[in-house]
Amino acid sequence: MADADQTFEALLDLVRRLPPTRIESNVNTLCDLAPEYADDLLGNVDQPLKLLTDSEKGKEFLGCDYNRDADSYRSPWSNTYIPESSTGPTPSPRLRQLETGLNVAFDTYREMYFEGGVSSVYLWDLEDEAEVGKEMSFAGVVLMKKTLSPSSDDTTSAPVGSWDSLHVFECQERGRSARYKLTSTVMLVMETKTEARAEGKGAEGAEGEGTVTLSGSMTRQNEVDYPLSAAVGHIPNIGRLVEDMEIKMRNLLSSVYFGKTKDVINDLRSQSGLEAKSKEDLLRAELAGRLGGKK
Amino acid sequence: MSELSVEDKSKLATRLIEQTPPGEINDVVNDIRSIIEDDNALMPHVIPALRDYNLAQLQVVDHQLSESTPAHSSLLSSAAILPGSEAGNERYVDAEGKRSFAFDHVTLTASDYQPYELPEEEETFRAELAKSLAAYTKNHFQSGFSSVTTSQFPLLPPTPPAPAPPLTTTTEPTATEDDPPAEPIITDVIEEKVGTGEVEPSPTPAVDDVVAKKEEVDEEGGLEKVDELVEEAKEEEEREEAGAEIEKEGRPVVEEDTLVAGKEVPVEEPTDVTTNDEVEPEKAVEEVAPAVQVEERKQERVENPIYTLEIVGNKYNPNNFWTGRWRTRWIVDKSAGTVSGDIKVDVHYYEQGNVQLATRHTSSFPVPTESVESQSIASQIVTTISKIETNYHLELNDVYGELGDKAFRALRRALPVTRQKMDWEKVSGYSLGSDLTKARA
Repeated sequence: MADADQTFEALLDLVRRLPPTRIESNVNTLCDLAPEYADDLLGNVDQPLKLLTDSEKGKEFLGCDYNRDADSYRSPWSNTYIPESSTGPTPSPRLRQLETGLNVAFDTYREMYFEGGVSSVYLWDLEDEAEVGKEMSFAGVVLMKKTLSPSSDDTTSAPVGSWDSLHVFECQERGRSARYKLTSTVMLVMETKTEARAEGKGAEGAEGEGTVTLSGSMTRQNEVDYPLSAAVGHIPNIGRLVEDMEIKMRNLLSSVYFGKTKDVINDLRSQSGLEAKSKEDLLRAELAGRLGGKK
Repeated sequence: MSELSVEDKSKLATRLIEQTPPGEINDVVNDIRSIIEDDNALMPHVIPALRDYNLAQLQVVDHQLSESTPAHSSLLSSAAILPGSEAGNERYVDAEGKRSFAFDHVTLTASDYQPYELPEEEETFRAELAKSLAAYTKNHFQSGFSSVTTSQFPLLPPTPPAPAPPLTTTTEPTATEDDPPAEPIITDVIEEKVGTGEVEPSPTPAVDDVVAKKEEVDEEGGLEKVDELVEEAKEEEEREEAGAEIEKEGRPVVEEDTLVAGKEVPVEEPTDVTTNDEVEPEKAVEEVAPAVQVEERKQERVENPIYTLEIVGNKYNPNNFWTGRWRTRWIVDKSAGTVSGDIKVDVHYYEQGNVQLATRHTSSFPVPTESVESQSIASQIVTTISKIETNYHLELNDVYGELGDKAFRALRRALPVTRQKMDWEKVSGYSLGSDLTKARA
């Protein structure tokens, strides 16, 4: 048996290299290849969130590893597992109260930033028995998902895509403040079409079509201490933490990451031609040389 | 669920290979090897996957300097498979070097070179396309490689080819002028042949050429044309110089070798080949290959061969965590009257993340039917390809704006409509406040 770390490192390396658009099927493949690392892999690699429906509350919610019990997922709206599960854990009553408040707050956040989509927040206790009044330590995850599907009346040029974000955090209350450790992952896919426009001038009679797919996933971490006067104070604290991180990651993706791929295209191929600058000179020298040489 | 056998795992793992981003095939294969930990079981499955990957990704094959060819490169692709070579013993065509070769898809090395000789008609058109495509590639791709292949069957392998005769045996300066004018003036090729003979190169065409086309500089899309012209003109001049001072130049001699090889064509040409009998081969035949045994094998031939033009531009910068590849494939189908192509761009940026761009674009245009203003059909084809690719390149740059503005905002706004961050204290906090405060107290 070779070095276990090496095998796991190889699995993660593949995840970093293979296309983010195929992360789900690739992770399944990797789990089949190395079943002994399946749990570690699923715990370390974020995947697109499952869109589920809580029919009792008539609302959609999101599923991930953190609210899953076997094949059931806990709904943040009804606090029940769907389909029903007797073994799945639920948060302690006072944590559930905070969870309910966070779900309401992030539902507003979702509407303001995503103008659609679905959000869910799940919390879980980090201590077996949290006494009332004692400093709490807990963990949670804030999930956001938005999918742009091609609409039937505008099939030509409307871009399609999806955004999935997971913000996993741990919180430790310390007197009149709390420490939050955050690990955020954004997974993004955007696709649009290229059209006959590409065949425009100079290439009359030509026709063409194609697609452009930009996809990415990135993970960032942050750790902060925020003042905390009351339990309800966790809501604005976690809210600000997640909001700042999402803004930062969105900017990184749009400017740094996508900008970089654009730069690479222009590195690969020179639009104006590598000799464009000196073309006139070359032509002139060429003619002069030729005429001179020919007497 | 029971665990898969090593055999099944190996099969499964190799399916990941085709997804490999540009320039990272070694990393991916080594990762897979670390996971499977059984090279003996794995490699038999990896090799066919690598073969498919190399062909799809237009793997560049470097060919060393040899007696008859300068160092150059060719591209692997499905179009470069030697017609008739069998699966398992697949051979590839190095059309520029007029050779076929076996290829090791793991070590990426070529071996077992054999002569590859096309009928003259196909080789002439192919070579013209190749010359124009190389000029376009050189001008637009910093690290670009191109090759042109045809589906025409090569001539049957000659009997051990006579050692390349010295230059002086080629003394049919007028031969090419008798070429059937089916292909309107292909300046490169004809000039080349004329220039290497004893006849003084006719002085006017090239200059007229350039002057005539210079006027187009101001037109839309004129830049590429000029670029090509400049390129062609330069090469022409080099050749003319070479014709005059042949001993001093290494390269023209090599070209001459390939030309001479071309002259051998009629030797092996079976009677059902109906082209170019004006090439007055008799003398050359006697000199070059006096004792050709007519072989029983039948020369195979397709009536309307297709020509495949391929370009690959690669840039790998693993130190800065990015790699990229631009692939182009254009197929000239004269019988269908179309040139159809696809362009693929793949970029991977993986510094603290994994961001990938994948573009696919197909396009087609009619095959030009006659030379225009002394621009040959081959040259027109490449000019149109150049324009389409440049337009596509422009559109790609625009797409970023569209994706960045429209799509990204439609997914998630940079800021809410209010242009302010959330007021978290206000949002729901106080409505719950009393309860939670009580719970905490």
